[in-house]
Order: sequence, then C-alpha cells, then structure tokens
Amino acid sequence: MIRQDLIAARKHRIQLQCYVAFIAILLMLPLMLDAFWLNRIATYLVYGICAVAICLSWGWAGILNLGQGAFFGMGAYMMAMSLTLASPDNNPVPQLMLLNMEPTAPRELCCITPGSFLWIPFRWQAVGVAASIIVPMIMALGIGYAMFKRRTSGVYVSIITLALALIIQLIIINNQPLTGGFNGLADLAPLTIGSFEFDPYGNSTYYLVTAVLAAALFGGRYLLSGKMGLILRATQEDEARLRFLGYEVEKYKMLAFCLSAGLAGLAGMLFVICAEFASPALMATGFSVSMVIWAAVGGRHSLMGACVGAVLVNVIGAGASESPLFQPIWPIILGLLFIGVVLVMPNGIAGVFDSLLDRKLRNGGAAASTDAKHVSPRPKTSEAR
Amino acid sequence: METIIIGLSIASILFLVALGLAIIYGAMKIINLAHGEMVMIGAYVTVLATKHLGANLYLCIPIAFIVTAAIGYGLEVIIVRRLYGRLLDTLLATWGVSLILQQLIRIHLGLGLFDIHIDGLGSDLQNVQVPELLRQTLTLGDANIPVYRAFVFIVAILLGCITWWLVYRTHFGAQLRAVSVARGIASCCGINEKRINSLAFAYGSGLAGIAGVMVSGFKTVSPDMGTPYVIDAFLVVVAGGVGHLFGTVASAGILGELQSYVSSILNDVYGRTAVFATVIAVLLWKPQGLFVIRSR
Amino acid sequence: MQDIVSQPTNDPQAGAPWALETTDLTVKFDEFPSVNGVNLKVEAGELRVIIGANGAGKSTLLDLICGKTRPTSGVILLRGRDVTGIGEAQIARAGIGRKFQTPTVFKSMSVWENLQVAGNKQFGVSHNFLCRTESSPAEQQRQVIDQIGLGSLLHRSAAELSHGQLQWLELGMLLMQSPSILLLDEPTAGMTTEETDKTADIIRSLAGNHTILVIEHDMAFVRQICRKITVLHQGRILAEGAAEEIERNADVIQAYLGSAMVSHA
Repeated sequence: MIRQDLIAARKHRIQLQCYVAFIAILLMLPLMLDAFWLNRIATYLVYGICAVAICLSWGWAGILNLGQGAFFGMGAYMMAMSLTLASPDNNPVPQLMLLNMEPTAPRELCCITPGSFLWIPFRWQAVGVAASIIVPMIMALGIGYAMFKRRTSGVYVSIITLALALIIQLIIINNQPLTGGFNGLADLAPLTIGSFEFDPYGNSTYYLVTAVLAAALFGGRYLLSGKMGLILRATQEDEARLRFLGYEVEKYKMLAFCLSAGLAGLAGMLFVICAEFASPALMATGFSVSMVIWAAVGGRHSLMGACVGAVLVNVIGAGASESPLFQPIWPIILGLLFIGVVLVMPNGIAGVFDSLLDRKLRNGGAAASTDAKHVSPRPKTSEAR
Repeated sequence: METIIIGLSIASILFLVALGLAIIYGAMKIINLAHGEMVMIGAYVTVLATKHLGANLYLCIPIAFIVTAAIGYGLEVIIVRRLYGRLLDTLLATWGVSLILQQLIRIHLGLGLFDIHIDGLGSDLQNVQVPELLRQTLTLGDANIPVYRAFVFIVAILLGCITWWLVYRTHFGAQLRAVSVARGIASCCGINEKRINSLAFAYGSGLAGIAGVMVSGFKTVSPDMGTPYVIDAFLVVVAGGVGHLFGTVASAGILGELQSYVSSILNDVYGRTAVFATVIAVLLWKPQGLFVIRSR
Repeated sequence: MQDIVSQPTNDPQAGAPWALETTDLTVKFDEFPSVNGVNLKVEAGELRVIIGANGAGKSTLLDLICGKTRPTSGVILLRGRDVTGIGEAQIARAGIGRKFQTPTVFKSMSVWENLQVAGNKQFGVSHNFLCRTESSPAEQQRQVIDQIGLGSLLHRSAAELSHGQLQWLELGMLLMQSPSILLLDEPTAGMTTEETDKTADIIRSLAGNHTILVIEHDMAFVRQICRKITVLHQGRILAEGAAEEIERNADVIQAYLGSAMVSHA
C-alpha cells in the first residue's frame, strides 16, 4: 500500500523548497531591473500580498470577500495620512484642508474642518503604520461578528462585504475636506524610519515589500499546516459537523477574516509607500474582484499560488497595455482567463502543479512502498484534495 | 410629493433590473454579474436603433428584448450551463463575461481594432432622444411629474404582471418552478430542463434589456453603466427574499423610496449609502431576506 | 396510551441526577408537533434503544438533544444541568456526541485527520492557533483505532472508504471525542451482517462507561445490544421496557401491525 503520509511529507518539503526558491528569485531581481520596473514589481508584490489575504479568507475559510478593497484602501489611507503630514507642504495642516476650509476657521489641525482632529494622531508615523493594520482588523471584527454569529453563509457574506466596501468608498468620496474626496491623497513624503528614507524607486522599498511578503507566505504556511489549517478545511467542508464536535466555528471564521483584513491593510500601507498616493479607486468593486481573479488564477488554496497569480496577471496586463495590439483586447483576455479558470482549472495554476506533483510522487512511491500488510478493498486513484 | 415620484421612478428601474435577476437567481441559483451588461446592451441597442434604423423608443423595447434575450440564451448554453450547483463560481465566471461585454462595446464589437468605428459605440458617452410625448411634464396638484418617469413606472408594472402571469399561470412557469425546486428530478418527469434553463435565462436577460431601454431615456449611456445596476439589483433581490416575486417588488419599492428620501434631505451619495446600509441591516436581521418561502 | 416503565435494573442513588433527562420536550414545525411532550430518563451507563416508525420523531429527538434543532418548549437536562437551547458546540463540549444517519465525515481529509479533528480536546481558537498536528496517534488513541479496525487505512483519504468503513470512521470520531453520552442514529444502516455484528460488539463494549442512545430499525440488532427500549409513536413515548415486553405490548403491536418489528422471531 502506498504510504499516504510519506507522500504528504515529501510534498510538504517540495512545496517549502518552492517557496524558498520563489523568495530567492525575488531577492535577486533588483540586480536585473531598472528603477521603474523595480517599483512596478514592488507594486505587484503588494497586490500579491492582497491575493494571499484573499486566499486565506476564501480558499481556506470559505469566505468570499468581494470588498477586500475596503480593507486595502483603509490601510492605504491610514498610511497616507501620516505621510501627508510628514510632507513639509502639509504643515501645520494638509493643503487639501486649506483648499476646502471655511475662511474663518483656524489653521489648526484640531478644528480647521469638521473631523479634522482625527488626523492629529497621524503626526506620528508609527500611528499610521499601526493603524493601517489595526483599523481594518477592527472593521473586520465588527462586520465579521455580525455576520458569523448570525450564521450568514456564502453568497450573503459576499454581498454584505460588497455593499460594505461601497459604503466606505462613498463615505470617503463624500468627505472631500477630510479625505481628499475623489482625488484622494497625493503629495506624500516618503516613509522615513529614523534617518533612513525609503525611496519608492529604490531597492529599500522593494526589499521591504519582499520581506513582508516572505513573512506573510512563510507565516501563513506555518499557520495553515498546523491544527488551524485542519480546522479551517473542516469548516469549509461541513461547518455543522464541526460544531457537533465542539468547535465554535464562528470564532475560527472571524479569526481568518480578521487576519485577512489585517494583511490587506498591511498591503495597503505598502502600496502607499510604493505608489505615493491613496484614492477611493482602491476600494472600487472592480479592484476588489480583481484580487479574487488573481487568487483564482494562481490557485485559491495556495498562498504562493495566489501571489504568483497576482504578479503574473499584472505583469502580463502591463505588457498588454503597452502594446497597441493587445491593449484594446486585454480586458477580453482577462475575462476569458477568468472564465477558463473557473470552468477548467478551479484550483488555478497551483492546483495544476499540485496534481502533477501528486501523480509523480504516487508513481515513484508505489515502487518504494513500505507497508504491504493490508491491501485496501477498493483501490481508488482519486485525489484527496 | 416629488420625492415620492422620484422614489417610484428609482424603484421602477430597480424592479425591472431586479426582476430578471430574481428569475435567474431565484429560480436557477445562478449569480449573473453580467446582468448589468444586459442593461447596458439594451441601452446601446436603443442608441443604435434610433441612430441607424430611425426607430423610436417604443420600438426599441421589443428589439432590445430580443437582442438581450438572444445573448442571454447564448451565455447560458456556452458557459452558465456548466456551472449549476457551483454558486460562487457562477459569480466569478459571469464577472468575466461582463468584462468581455464591456470591452466589446468599447472596441466597437471588435471592428475598432481595424479602425472601423460604428457611430453609437465606443467609449464615448451616448444619449438617446426620447419621443416628444414623453418629454412633457404633467402637473398634478403642486407637483411636476415628468411623463417619462410615469412611463417607466407603467412599463415596470406591466412587465411585473406579465412575469407573474408567466411564472404562475403558464405551463412554462410551472415547469420553471419545478426545475428550480427539484433540479435533476424534474427531468425525470419529462421536463426538458436544459431548454427551460436557457429560456428562463434568456427571459431574465431580456427584461434587463428593456430596463436598459428605459434607462437610456434619462441617463447617459456608457460601457460601464451596467455595474451599479447589477449590484443594486442584487441587493434588492437578496433583501426581498429569494424566490419571492412579491418580495422583490416590496424591496425595490422600499429601497427606491429610501434612496429618494435620503437624497432629497442630504445628497445622492448619502442616498445610496442609506440603501446599502439598510440592505446590510436587513440581511443581518433576517438572513434569508424579508419574505421567506416557508420550507423545511 | 399506556406508559409501561419496567423497573430500572439498578436504582439511581437518591439525589443523583439522570445522565440525560428531558421534560415535556416538544418541537413544532409550522404547528405540527414532531416531538410532543417527551419525558425521557436515561441512567448513566445505560444503553437505550429508541424505535418507532418513520416520522415518529426519533431523529428529531436526537436533533433536539444535540442542539441541532431548538425545542418549542420543554427542558433537556444533562446530569442535572439545563442544556436546552445552548449552541451545538457547547452541548458537544458538555459531553454529548452524535453520530448521524448518513455518515458525515470530512471527505476531503484523511482518516487520521478526521480522527484528530474529532479528538482534539482543545477547542479554543487561541490554543489551536499555532498548534501543530500530530503525524501519528498516541497510545490511547491507538486503542480506538484498533477497535474500529481502520488502523491500516489511517492515512487514506476518507473519500475512498466504503460505506461500512465510513460508519466506523464516524463512530471512531465519536469515540475520540469521548463524550459521556453517545447518540447513535441508525449505526448499522447499509451494513452487511458481519459489519452489523462487529458494530454490536463495539457498542456493547462501550456501554457502562458511556451512556448510549441508539435509534434503530433492525430488531435482531436491537436484541443483540440492549436491555431497555423506548418506543416513539407520533412524537410521544408509546411504551418503554425490555425487548420481550415491548414485543408483547398490545399498543405497540397495534401501532405497527405487520411491521418488521413484529415479524422477527
């Protein structure tokens, strides 16, 4: 009999090697790319982190979040607020507030415009960094509690998250004096830690993003290969059964949802460092669904797959938009890709690799089986996942 | 008073779009995110028909219905058919379809690649000339009611009645209801499920096309106009209670009036925000929607 | 409707609560009472079988006890503690484990992974957050695995098991959960005669240490395993007693005239 657990262990090791190789390649890219492309790839890696977040909440916890842009955007805005205030043009109050203020209002951050006092803590960059992770997590905690305690399922969760993202986007657009409205926040200072400045087009920013991505990938992998991963897989398959075993499924879903939100917020923060702006467009439905597309193409059950999917789709998209031939048909290709993935490759590129790996290991493993005591009554070759 | 009229007008459009979606989602458990593009196509059919065929708005209604129903039929046969039972996958696949449809309009159905431009297509904004009769304004008491809004309301009610009759009083409707309740088993009773599914999808898409004709009369037509409609329609259907025709009516009415009311007090943005927030609240309070069909 | 209650084989100590007790337990679906005023009393360590025609409310009764369905009225007491209406997870943690009519296991996971999830005594998120999985079972867990006979299939995917093996896997999961009360819903459904006998052995060996409630139709199996039977009819307890008494009971015979229950010799 084929020792399933030995095969699984080998697979685990091979996957780990892939992760390491991926990060190694990323670390070497600065040697080959110019500043412009380096910045671009850094941005795509940020999108990759978003895709990892989607993979965690959708592929592992079964929560299809169609409003991930809200968490991403909030993270971006939190960081952008700090970087706005760090810019010399925006002292003591940001330009956008000066443009929108009442003529008689004092030029102080506390009272120049209704709600402007909310900006005060962001004078410290650390607040911006922390808030970009914590605020989305708190939002996720709130909406997650409301949804999962009520046992809201599948489609309704997706619709609620969609509607929520729209609400947040509308609120941000509608409060121009406070948030920059439709145009968002630009004119930002670069991130500065101590005396070190992160140049968006330099190696420092790129390595920062790569480091965070690596942490997310390896950390996520560690988490999901433990009991947490087991319980989440059970949640996806049969929530009710899991409850009868004693698990409070809501709490696990909330945890996955909050982690996903925090990760998306973190990605938003990095986005602002790379792209030097934050705008309501980051919260648009189209963008949120794009994140789902990236994860679907790369592999919704694989953290690295989702990341690779994001980078791949965006790199091809960038290439297409620069070619006069492909630029008009790129959305069509993207749409076809999406339909194709759903119909033919539901587990994405990573899923295809996974099946190939399975087949290769089984053929190799049959020759090296160690436990020949019991022949299973019905040998099936169907895959476990 | 005018707020109420505007509310009814919003509700009418919501209802028309939601009705088609209600059939597709309620009866067939398909999330069709390309439904908004059906509205958009209906609007573009109006633009093209008025420009090139000299048709008036009334004639565009059946034309748009036929065009969008045909597209819907094709979609069902080619893509949607393979996804029954995979609810979230239908969401994703139809989003892909919507991307394609939007871009096709932008590139003049592909002819733009060869530098052929069809007047009425492309990324520019389009407008439709409404018949003289409908451009008037009635004065009822102290309120000014644009005739066009009344026209939309009447069309919505008419189509609602026709749909109700179709679903609850015809053989086709009975078959549709059978298929929606007992997929797979219905075919054991001699019902041609495949055909019913395709026809239902076509009908739902056709309704959206008619909604597009209505919309083109008072909104500018652009390739990306459809997305807000499908989102709103979905919220209406889900909040009203899936599979319940009356629920869709009530939900559209309530949300339409709410949006109008809040918009008149604050602004349009808050109007939409209020609608979204209400739907979230409804779904959290009653996870199955306002009106639920009792079943075990 | 007579209520025949045979003398309990051992009197519960004065003041000690029943392992499981329901008082006037009722649930109505759209005004139709599926379970209607059931007063059930089960001792610790008892092996009780519940029989009745389809629609008598047997599965619904188990649903109520394990928390799947909320009762319209009535009380469920677990060792004297009121567990009516608390969530399924809390009831499971309080010591009630359920095996379902159609085997519900996690088919996407291996046999050992299923057992691990079931046997994980720590349910909290904070504990399981960073906890690693075990690659092979501990000694006590080995016993359970041997009992259900799936030792050689430990790392197979649950999707590849036969129907009988699935039943045993679910039973194994229940054992790993080690609840004080086991609710078994037709544990031998779809099994061969050998498999049924083996299941009877397992259940008999569990009685005494565990309190077991079994729903069954197969009277031959029932006679193999138990002492006391509760008969449900139209949501109420029709009769209770030992197998021989039940089979001679006039009400029961009247309710199931010609049914399989009476036909077994």
